Amino acid sequence: MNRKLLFQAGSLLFLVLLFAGFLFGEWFLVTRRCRASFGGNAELKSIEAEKYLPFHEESLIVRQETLAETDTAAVNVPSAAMIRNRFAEMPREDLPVLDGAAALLPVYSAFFHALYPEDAAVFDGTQYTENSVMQYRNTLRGYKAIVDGTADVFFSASPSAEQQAYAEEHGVELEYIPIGREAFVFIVNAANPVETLTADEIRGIYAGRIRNFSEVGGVNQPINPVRRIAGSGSQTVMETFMKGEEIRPAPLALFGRSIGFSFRYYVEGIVGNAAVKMISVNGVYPSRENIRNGSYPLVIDFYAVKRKDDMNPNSQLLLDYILSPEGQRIIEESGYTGIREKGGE
Amino acid sequence: MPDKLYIKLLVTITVIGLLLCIGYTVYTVEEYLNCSIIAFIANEWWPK
Repeated sequence: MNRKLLFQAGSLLFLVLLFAGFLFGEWFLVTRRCRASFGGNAELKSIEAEKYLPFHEESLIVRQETLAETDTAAVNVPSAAMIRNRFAEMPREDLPVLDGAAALLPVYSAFFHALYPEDAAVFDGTQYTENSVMQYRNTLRGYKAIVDGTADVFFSASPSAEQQAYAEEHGVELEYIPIGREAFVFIVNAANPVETLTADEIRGIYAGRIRNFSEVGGVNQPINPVRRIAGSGSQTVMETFMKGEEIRPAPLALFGRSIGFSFRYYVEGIVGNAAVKMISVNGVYPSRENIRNGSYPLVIDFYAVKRKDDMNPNSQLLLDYILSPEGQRIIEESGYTGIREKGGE
Repeated sequence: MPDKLYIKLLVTITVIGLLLCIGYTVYTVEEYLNCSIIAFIANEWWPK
Protein backbone atom coordinates (compact mmCIF):
# COMPACT_ATOMS: atom_id res chain seq x y z
CA MET A 1 0.00 0.00 0.00
CA ASN A 2 2.67 2.49 1.06
CA ARG A 3 4.82 1.50 -1.89
CA LYS A 4 1.92 2.08 -4.25
CA LEU A 5 1.22 5.52 -2.74
CA LEU A 6 4.88 6.37 -2.96
CA PHE A 7 4.97 5.42 -6.62
CA GLN A 8 1.82 7.39 -7.40
CA ALA A 9 3.03 10.50 -5.58
CA GLY A 10 6.47 10.16 -7.11
CA SER A 11 5.18 9.81 -10.64
CA LEU A 12 2.85 12.81 -10.28
CA LEU A 13 5.68 14.88 -8.83
CA PHE A 14 8.00 13.77 -11.64
CA LEU A 15 5.45 14.87 -14.21
CA VAL A 16 5.04 18.26 -12.57
CA LEU A 17 8.81 18.72 -12.37
CA LEU A 18 9.22 17.66 -16.01
CA PHE A 19 6.82 20.31 -17.26
CA ALA A 20 8.18 22.90 -14.83
CA GLY A 21 11.73 22.14 -15.98
CA PHE A 22 10.74 22.55 -19.62
CA LEU A 23 9.05 25.87 -18.94
CA PHE A 24 11.96 27.07 -16.85
CA GLY A 25 14.39 26.07 -19.60
CA GLU A 26 12.49 28.13 -22.17
CA TRP A 27 12.36 31.08 -19.81
CA PHE A 28 16.08 30.83 -19.06
CA LEU A 29 17.24 30.36 -22.66
CA VAL A 30 14.93 32.88 -24.34
CA THR A 31 12.59 35.01 -22.24
CA ARG A 32 15.21 36.08 -19.71
CA ARG A 33 17.57 37.07 -22.51
CA CYS A 34 15.03 38.99 -24.51
CA ARG A 35 13.69 40.80 -21.45
CA ALA A 36 11.37 43.67 -22.34
CA SER A 37 12.27 43.78 -26.01
CA PHE A 38 9.39 41.53 -26.98
CA GLY A 39 5.87 42.63 -27.56
CA GLY A 40 3.61 44.14 -30.18
CA ASN A 41 5.88 47.11 -30.23
CA ALA A 42 9.10 45.12 -30.39
CA GLU A 43 10.18 47.02 -33.49
CA LEU A 44 9.57 50.32 -31.78
CA LYS A 45 11.27 49.28 -28.59
CA SER A 46 14.57 48.75 -30.41
CA ILE A 47 15.36 52.37 -29.58
CA GLU A 48 14.12 54.71 -26.89
CA ALA A 49 12.51 57.35 -29.08
CA GLU A 50 12.12 59.71 -26.13
CA LYS A 51 15.92 60.07 -25.95
CA TYR A 52 16.06 61.46 -29.51
CA LEU A 53 13.19 63.93 -29.59
CA PRO A 54 13.65 67.06 -31.70
CA PHE A 55 13.53 70.33 -29.72
CA HIS A 56 13.73 68.52 -26.39
CA GLU A 57 16.30 70.01 -24.02
CA GLU A 58 17.75 66.68 -22.92
CA SER A 59 17.63 65.09 -26.35
CA LEU A 60 20.77 63.28 -27.51
CA ILE A 61 20.45 64.48 -31.12
CA VAL A 62 22.95 66.79 -32.80
CA ARG A 63 21.67 70.32 -32.69
CA GLN A 64 22.21 72.24 -35.90
CA GLU A 65 22.64 75.50 -33.97
CA THR A 66 25.73 74.07 -32.22
CA LEU A 67 27.53 73.30 -35.47
CA ALA A 68 30.17 75.70 -36.71
CA GLU A 69 29.01 77.69 -39.70
CA THR A 70 29.41 75.78 -42.92
CA ASP A 71 29.53 77.26 -46.34
CA THR A 72 26.25 76.14 -47.83
CA ALA A 73 25.96 79.26 -49.95
CA ALA A 74 28.99 78.24 -51.94
CA VAL A 75 27.21 75.12 -53.16
CA ASN A 76 24.02 76.98 -53.88
CA VAL A 77 21.95 75.26 -51.22
CA PRO A 78 19.42 77.11 -49.10
CA SER A 79 20.52 77.50 -45.50
CA ALA A 80 18.84 75.78 -42.56
CA ALA A 81 17.48 79.15 -41.47
CA MET A 82 15.93 79.79 -44.88
CA ILE A 83 14.33 76.35 -45.02
CA ARG A 84 13.11 76.72 -41.45
CA ASN A 85 11.44 80.04 -42.28
CA ARG A 86 9.87 78.53 -45.36
CA PHE A 87 8.62 75.48 -43.43
CA ALA A 88 7.27 77.70 -40.64
CA GLU A 89 5.15 79.66 -43.08
CA MET A 90 3.60 76.76 -44.96
CA PRO A 91 0.49 74.79 -43.97
CA ARG A 92 1.24 71.72 -41.91
CA GLU A 93 -0.02 69.38 -44.64
CA ASP A 94 2.69 70.67 -47.01
CA LEU A 95 5.51 69.69 -44.67
CA PRO A 96 7.21 66.44 -45.69
CA VAL A 97 6.44 63.73 -43.13
CA LEU A 98 9.65 62.05 -41.95
CA ASP A 99 9.95 58.46 -40.79
CA GLY A 100 12.79 56.01 -40.46
CA ALA A 101 14.62 52.99 -39.09
CA ALA A 102 15.70 52.77 -35.46
CA ALA A 103 19.39 53.16 -36.26
CA LEU A 104 18.74 56.41 -38.13
CA LEU A 105 16.31 58.05 -35.73
CA PRO A 106 19.06 60.26 -34.22
CA VAL A 107 19.95 61.48 -37.72
CA TYR A 108 16.56 62.36 -39.08
CA SER A 109 15.40 63.73 -35.76
CA ALA A 110 18.39 66.10 -35.97
CA PHE A 111 17.28 67.15 -39.48
CA PHE A 112 13.79 67.70 -38.16
CA HIS A 113 15.16 69.82 -35.32
CA ALA A 114 17.22 71.89 -37.78
CA LEU A 115 14.45 72.65 -40.25
CA TYR A 116 10.94 72.16 -38.94
CA PRO A 117 8.72 74.26 -36.67
CA GLU A 118 8.65 72.94 -33.12
CA ASP A 119 4.95 72.18 -33.03
CA ALA A 120 5.22 69.90 -36.06
CA ALA A 121 6.50 67.02 -33.88
CA VAL A 122 3.96 65.64 -31.41
CA PHE A 123 5.15 62.92 -29.03
CA ASP A 124 2.68 61.56 -26.49
CA GLY A 125 5.28 60.09 -24.13
CA THR A 126 5.54 56.70 -25.79
CA GLN A 127 5.23 57.36 -29.53
CA TYR A 128 4.59 60.05 -32.12
CA THR A 129 0.91 60.80 -32.61
CA GLU A 130 -0.87 60.19 -35.88
CA ASN A 131 -0.92 63.90 -36.78
CA SER A 132 2.80 64.41 -36.03
CA VAL A 133 4.95 65.38 -39.02
CA MET A 134 7.80 63.49 -37.35
CA GLN A 135 7.17 59.75 -37.14
CA TYR A 136 9.08 56.70 -35.97
CA ARG A 137 7.58 53.46 -37.25
CA ASN A 138 10.86 51.63 -37.94
CA THR A 139 11.71 49.72 -41.09
CA LEU A 140 8.84 47.27 -41.41
CA ARG A 141 6.03 49.77 -41.04
CA GLY A 142 7.94 52.74 -42.43
CA TYR A 143 8.42 51.30 -45.92
CA LYS A 144 4.70 50.61 -46.07
CA ALA A 145 4.05 54.18 -44.96
CA ILE A 146 6.07 55.54 -47.89
CA VAL A 147 4.21 53.34 -50.35
CA ASP A 148 0.84 54.13 -48.80
CA GLY A 149 1.62 57.84 -48.77
CA THR A 150 1.49 58.45 -45.02
CA ALA A 151 5.19 59.35 -44.97
CA ASP A 152 7.08 61.46 -47.50
CA VAL A 153 10.73 60.73 -46.74
CA PHE A 154 11.92 57.55 -45.05
CA PHE A 155 15.44 57.00 -43.73
CA SER A 156 16.82 53.47 -43.83
CA ALA A 157 19.17 50.95 -45.37
CA SER A 158 18.16 49.24 -48.60
CA PRO A 159 14.74 47.54 -48.82
CA SER A 160 14.09 43.82 -48.61
CA ALA A 161 12.73 41.90 -51.59
CA GLU A 162 9.33 41.83 -49.90
CA GLN A 163 9.35 45.58 -49.38
CA GLN A 164 10.29 46.18 -53.01
CA ALA A 165 7.54 43.77 -54.06
CA TYR A 166 5.04 45.64 -51.88
CA ALA A 167 5.93 48.89 -53.63
CA GLU A 168 5.63 47.25 -57.07
CA GLU A 169 2.28 45.66 -56.22
CA HIS A 170 0.96 49.10 -55.39
CA GLY A 171 2.41 50.64 -58.52
CA VAL A 172 4.81 52.82 -56.56
CA GLU A 173 8.34 53.47 -57.68
CA LEU A 174 10.69 54.50 -54.91
CA GLU A 175 13.76 56.65 -55.22
CA TYR A 176 16.77 55.91 -53.03
CA ILE A 177 19.09 58.82 -52.38
CA PRO A 178 22.30 57.78 -50.59
CA ILE A 179 22.95 60.22 -47.74
CA GLY A 180 25.54 58.45 -45.61
CA ARG A 181 27.52 55.30 -44.94
CA GLU A 182 27.64 52.91 -42.03
CA ALA A 183 29.43 49.72 -41.09
CA PHE A 184 27.52 46.46 -40.95
CA VAL A 185 28.95 44.69 -37.92
CA PHE A 186 28.90 41.31 -36.24
CA ILE A 187 28.61 41.01 -32.50
CA VAL A 188 29.25 38.40 -29.85
CA ASN A 189 29.05 38.39 -26.09
CA ALA A 190 31.97 40.28 -24.54
CA ALA A 191 33.04 37.07 -22.77
CA ASN A 192 33.38 35.22 -26.08
CA PRO A 193 37.13 34.87 -26.86
CA VAL A 194 36.57 35.20 -30.65
CA GLU A 195 37.86 38.59 -31.82
CA THR A 196 37.84 38.25 -35.59
CA LEU A 197 36.21 36.19 -38.33
CA THR A 198 36.54 36.24 -42.08
CA ALA A 199 33.53 37.11 -44.18
CA ASP A 200 33.50 33.54 -45.52
CA GLU A 201 33.50 32.12 -42.01
CA ILE A 202 30.54 34.30 -41.08
CA ARG A 203 28.65 33.13 -44.18
CA GLY A 204 29.57 29.56 -43.25
CA ILE A 205 28.15 30.05 -39.77
CA TYR A 206 24.87 31.48 -40.97
CA ALA A 207 24.56 28.87 -43.73
CA GLY A 208 25.05 26.08 -41.22
CA ARG A 209 28.40 24.89 -42.61
CA ILE A 210 30.28 25.97 -39.48
CA ARG A 211 28.53 24.93 -36.30
CA ASN A 212 31.08 25.20 -33.51
CA PHE A 213 33.22 28.10 -32.37
CA SER A 214 36.21 25.75 -32.12
CA GLU A 215 36.22 25.62 -35.94
CA VAL A 216 36.94 29.37 -36.06
CA GLY A 217 39.43 29.76 -33.26
CA GLY A 218 37.03 29.92 -30.34
CA VAL A 219 35.99 27.57 -27.55
CA ASN A 220 34.31 24.23 -28.12
CA GLN A 221 30.69 25.34 -28.09
CA PRO A 222 27.84 25.31 -30.60
CA ILE A 223 27.30 28.55 -32.49
CA ASN A 224 23.87 30.11 -32.37
CA PRO A 225 23.60 32.46 -35.36
CA VAL A 226 20.94 34.93 -34.31
CA ARG A 227 18.97 36.77 -36.92
CA ARG A 228 16.23 39.34 -37.10
CA ILE A 229 12.73 39.26 -38.51
CA ALA A 230 12.31 39.38 -42.26
CA GLY A 231 12.03 42.90 -43.59
CA SER A 232 14.07 44.60 -40.90
CA GLY A 233 16.95 46.74 -42.15
CA SER A 234 19.76 44.67 -40.74
CA GLN A 235 18.19 41.36 -41.84
CA THR A 236 17.93 42.66 -45.40
CA VAL A 237 21.60 43.67 -45.40
CA MET A 238 22.52 40.26 -43.96
CA GLU A 239 20.63 38.46 -46.72
CA THR A 240 22.58 40.47 -49.30
CA PHE A 241 25.83 39.66 -47.48
CA MET A 242 25.04 35.95 -47.76
CA LYS A 243 25.39 36.18 -51.57
CA GLY A 244 22.55 33.81 -52.34
CA GLU A 245 23.28 31.30 -49.58
CA GLU A 246 20.29 30.55 -47.40
CA ILE A 247 20.42 31.50 -43.75
CA ARG A 248 19.75 28.32 -41.82
CA PRO A 249 18.43 28.44 -38.25
CA ALA A 250 20.19 26.36 -35.60
CA PRO A 251 17.53 25.91 -32.92
CA LEU A 252 19.48 23.46 -30.76
CA ALA A 253 22.35 25.93 -30.61
CA LEU A 254 20.32 27.94 -28.10
CA PHE A 255 22.52 26.09 -25.65
CA GLY A 256 25.64 27.52 -27.27
CA ARG A 257 27.17 30.95 -27.79
CA SER A 258 25.52 33.44 -30.07
CA ILE A 259 26.65 35.65 -32.89
CA GLY A 260 24.50 38.44 -34.31
CA PHE A 261 24.61 41.46 -36.59
CA SER A 262 23.64 45.10 -36.59
CA PHE A 263 24.94 48.54 -37.56
CA ARG A 264 27.99 50.03 -35.87
CA TYR A 265 26.54 53.20 -34.41
CA TYR A 266 23.42 51.40 -33.25
CA VAL A 267 25.58 48.93 -31.28
CA GLU A 268 28.16 51.41 -29.99
CA GLY A 269 26.33 54.68 -29.75
CA ILE A 270 22.64 54.02 -29.34
CA VAL A 271 22.58 50.81 -27.31
CA GLY A 272 26.10 50.87 -25.90
CA ASN A 273 25.80 47.59 -24.00
CA ALA A 274 29.19 46.65 -22.55
CA ALA A 275 28.21 42.96 -22.44
CA VAL A 276 28.39 42.84 -26.24
CA LYS A 277 31.38 43.47 -28.49
CA MET A 278 31.88 43.95 -32.20
CA ILE A 279 34.31 41.62 -33.91
CA SER A 280 36.73 42.39 -36.71
CA VAL A 281 35.94 41.13 -40.18
CA ASN A 282 38.91 39.92 -42.23
CA GLY A 283 41.08 41.27 -39.42
CA VAL A 284 39.73 44.83 -39.66
CA TYR A 285 37.85 46.37 -36.75
CA PRO A 286 34.78 48.49 -37.60
CA SER A 287 36.11 51.78 -36.25
CA ARG A 288 35.02 55.09 -37.81
CA GLU A 289 38.55 55.50 -39.16
CA ASN A 290 38.43 52.13 -40.89
CA ILE A 291 35.06 52.97 -42.35
CA ARG A 292 36.38 56.25 -43.72
CA ASN A 293 39.57 54.81 -45.15
CA GLY A 294 37.72 51.91 -46.74
CA SER A 295 39.62 49.14 -44.97
CA TYR A 296 36.58 47.74 -43.18
CA PRO A 297 35.00 45.48 -45.81
CA LEU A 298 31.31 45.80 -44.91
CA VAL A 299 30.24 49.38 -45.37
CA ILE A 300 26.79 50.12 -46.71
CA ASP A 301 24.99 53.21 -47.82
CA PHE A 302 21.90 54.36 -46.03
CA TYR A 303 19.26 56.32 -47.83
CA ALA A 304 16.56 58.93 -47.82
CA VAL A 305 13.74 57.14 -49.62
CA LYS A 306 10.87 58.86 -51.34
CA ARG A 307 8.30 58.11 -54.01
CA LYS A 308 9.42 58.98 -57.53
CA ASP A 309 6.02 60.55 -58.13
CA ASP A 310 6.40 62.80 -55.07
CA MET A 311 6.11 66.25 -56.58
CA ASN A 312 6.35 68.06 -53.25
CA PRO A 313 9.19 70.58 -53.78
CA ASN A 314 9.69 70.66 -50.03
CA SER A 315 10.89 67.04 -50.05
CA GLN A 316 13.56 68.02 -52.56
CA LEU A 317 14.49 71.05 -50.45
CA LEU A 318 14.97 68.77 -47.49
CA LEU A 319 17.13 66.38 -49.53
CA ASP A 320 19.25 69.21 -50.89
CA TYR A 321 19.92 70.27 -47.30
CA ILE A 322 20.78 66.73 -46.19
CA LEU A 323 23.39 66.46 -48.96
CA SER A 324 24.81 69.92 -48.21
CA PRO A 325 27.96 70.31 -46.10
CA GLU A 326 25.82 71.19 -43.08
CA GLY A 327 23.53 68.22 -43.55
CA GLN A 328 26.51 65.94 -43.92
CA ARG A 329 28.02 67.46 -40.76
CA ILE A 330 24.88 66.46 -38.88
CA ILE A 331 25.32 62.91 -40.15
CA GLU A 332 29.00 62.87 -39.11
CA GLU A 333 28.32 64.41 -35.71
CA SER A 334 25.52 61.88 -35.19
CA GLY A 335 28.09 59.10 -35.38
CA TYR A 336 27.86 58.01 -39.01
CA THR A 337 29.97 58.69 -42.09
CA GLY A 338 28.82 61.20 -44.66
CA ILE A 339 28.27 60.10 -48.23
CA ARG A 340 30.81 62.64 -49.39
CA GLU A 341 33.63 60.73 -47.70
CA LYS A 342 33.30 57.52 -49.66
CA GLY A 343 35.48 54.63 -48.57
CA GLY A 344 35.95 51.28 -50.19
CA GLU A 345 33.52 48.36 -50.23
CA MET B 1 -4.71 6.72 -3.29
CA PRO B 2 -7.57 5.13 -5.29
CA ASP B 3 -6.61 4.25 -8.86
CA LYS B 4 -9.37 6.41 -10.34
CA LEU B 5 -8.13 9.49 -8.50
CA TYR B 6 -4.55 8.79 -9.50
CA ILE B 7 -5.46 8.51 -13.15
CA LYS B 8 -7.57 11.67 -12.99
CA LEU B 9 -4.66 13.56 -11.47
CA LEU B 10 -2.25 12.09 -14.01
CA VAL B 11 -4.42 13.09 -16.94
CA THR B 12 -5.18 16.56 -15.52
CA ILE B 13 -1.52 17.34 -14.84
CA THR B 14 -0.52 16.01 -18.27
CA VAL B 15 -3.16 18.04 -20.13
CA ILE B 16 -2.46 21.25 -18.21
CA GLY B 17 1.27 20.71 -18.54
CA LEU B 18 1.09 20.10 -22.29
CA LEU B 19 -1.15 23.12 -22.84
CA LEU B 20 1.21 25.33 -20.84
CA CYS B 21 4.27 24.00 -22.64
CA ILE B 22 2.76 24.30 -26.10
CA GLY B 23 1.39 27.76 -25.39
CA TYR B 24 4.61 29.03 -23.90
CA THR B 25 6.64 27.51 -26.73
CA VAL B 26 4.54 29.37 -29.28
CA TYR B 27 5.05 32.57 -27.28
CA THR B 28 8.79 31.87 -26.95
CA VAL B 29 9.29 31.28 -30.67
CA GLU B 30 7.67 34.60 -31.50
CA GLU B 31 9.61 36.25 -28.71
CA TYR B 32 12.86 34.88 -30.11
CA LEU B 33 12.09 36.08 -33.61
CA ASN B 34 11.28 39.58 -32.36
CA CYS B 35 14.00 39.74 -29.75
CA SER B 36 16.65 42.44 -29.77
CA ILE B 37 19.80 40.70 -31.00
CA ILE B 38 21.92 42.84 -28.71
CA ALA B 39 19.87 42.09 -25.60
CA PHE B 40 19.81 38.37 -26.45
CA ILE B 41 23.56 38.15 -26.87
CA ALA B 42 24.32 40.44 -23.93
CA ASN B 43 22.35 38.17 -21.61
CA GLU B 44 24.22 34.98 -22.53
CA TRP B 45 25.21 33.03 -19.48
CA TRP B 46 28.50 31.41 -20.48
CA PRO B 47 31.42 32.44 -18.33
CA LYS B 48 34.69 33.52 -19.98
